[in-house]
Amino acid sequence: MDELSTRFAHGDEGVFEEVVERYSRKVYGLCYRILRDEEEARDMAQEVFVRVYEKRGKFGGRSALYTWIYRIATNMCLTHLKRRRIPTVPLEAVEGMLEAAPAGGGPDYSRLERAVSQAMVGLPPRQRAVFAMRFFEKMSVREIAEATGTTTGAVKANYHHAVRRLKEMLGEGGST
Amino acid sequence: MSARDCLDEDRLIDFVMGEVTGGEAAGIEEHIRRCPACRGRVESLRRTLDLAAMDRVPEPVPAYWEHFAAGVRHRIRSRAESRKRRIRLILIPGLATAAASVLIVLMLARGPVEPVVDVEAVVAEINTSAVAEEVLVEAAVDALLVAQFGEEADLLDNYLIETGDVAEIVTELDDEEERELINKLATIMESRGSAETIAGKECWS
Ligand SMILES: [Zn+2]
Repeated sequence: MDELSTRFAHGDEGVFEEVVERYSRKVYGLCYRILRDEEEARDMAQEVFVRVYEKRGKFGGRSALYTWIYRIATNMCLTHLKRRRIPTVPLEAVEGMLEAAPAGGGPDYSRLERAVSQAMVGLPPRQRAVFAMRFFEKMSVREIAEATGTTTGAVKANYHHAVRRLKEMLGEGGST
Repeated sequence: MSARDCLDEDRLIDFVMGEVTGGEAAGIEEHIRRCPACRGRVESLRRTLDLAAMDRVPEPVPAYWEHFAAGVRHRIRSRAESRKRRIRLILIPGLATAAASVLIVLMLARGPVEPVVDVEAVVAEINTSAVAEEVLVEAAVDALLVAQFGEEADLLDNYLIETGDVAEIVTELDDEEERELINKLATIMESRGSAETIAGKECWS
């Protein structure tokens, strides 16, 4: 355990502020990559730290602090999506999106960036979470298993599915 | 390697991600050199991941980060206050630690709102859970809150209550409140008779 984790586990005064400072951007990024909505991600990132604060007595230091925080964030985001019953975009609807130049991602985004963003929306939420942690955060399969409360096998399967699906959606699905 | 040794897509993904090492990686490289089909698949995967790397997280305005910690503190304070009010209201005399599954069924059945909990899954999970007591109290609190504050069920937004996730349910109660609730639950259950009676399916369905 690093020093911050140790102090957090011991409930040191003032350590929470440091934890917020250190992880807020990462948590916001993860929330966005799962929720795919900027406003919701901004709100959720703060809620995650509220929960981190409330649960601080339950952080036993068995996992790294950031995996523990990621686990809270992932759970909250997935639950949020479930409650909102946001339908998963069917694969057919997003195929060929490179040509379709879909909306989303904001005006300063290039057409290609918007297409990529739409493809991410096309992933089921759990795959989004795993893909974000593996591909963007470079977390190990084991760390992701901890952060998602699943097995390493499930993480690998989720990651493989995510890549395959992205490949199809981004027009790389054809056999060459 | 012959064409029959063509690699499955998942292994190629691992390869492209740099997760295959040593002799196996060398074998794959060798195969790719000779096999146009697999070469094409690897190239396609690489292009996919190059595209994926373009995915951007929108940067919030600076004010968001400036006020981030203060915003969190504010939420913590107001949550603590509203929680105190709610907990007082639901601490009706009586209810039980041994039979939280019963309690959940009971409270949801008479609650004014659609249950947001998959009751049977929760019950099954609780029965097999190693952290049963803590979890059941948390789940019970949730159920009580839904039953009592249906219109404010957004309170539950942050909870995971479904098969496999029960162990993740978190309590908003501190230790003292948790103990108090357990005691209250126990008393109520006693006054309501045996668990079997209340847990009957009729009660729920
Ligand atoms: Zn081949």
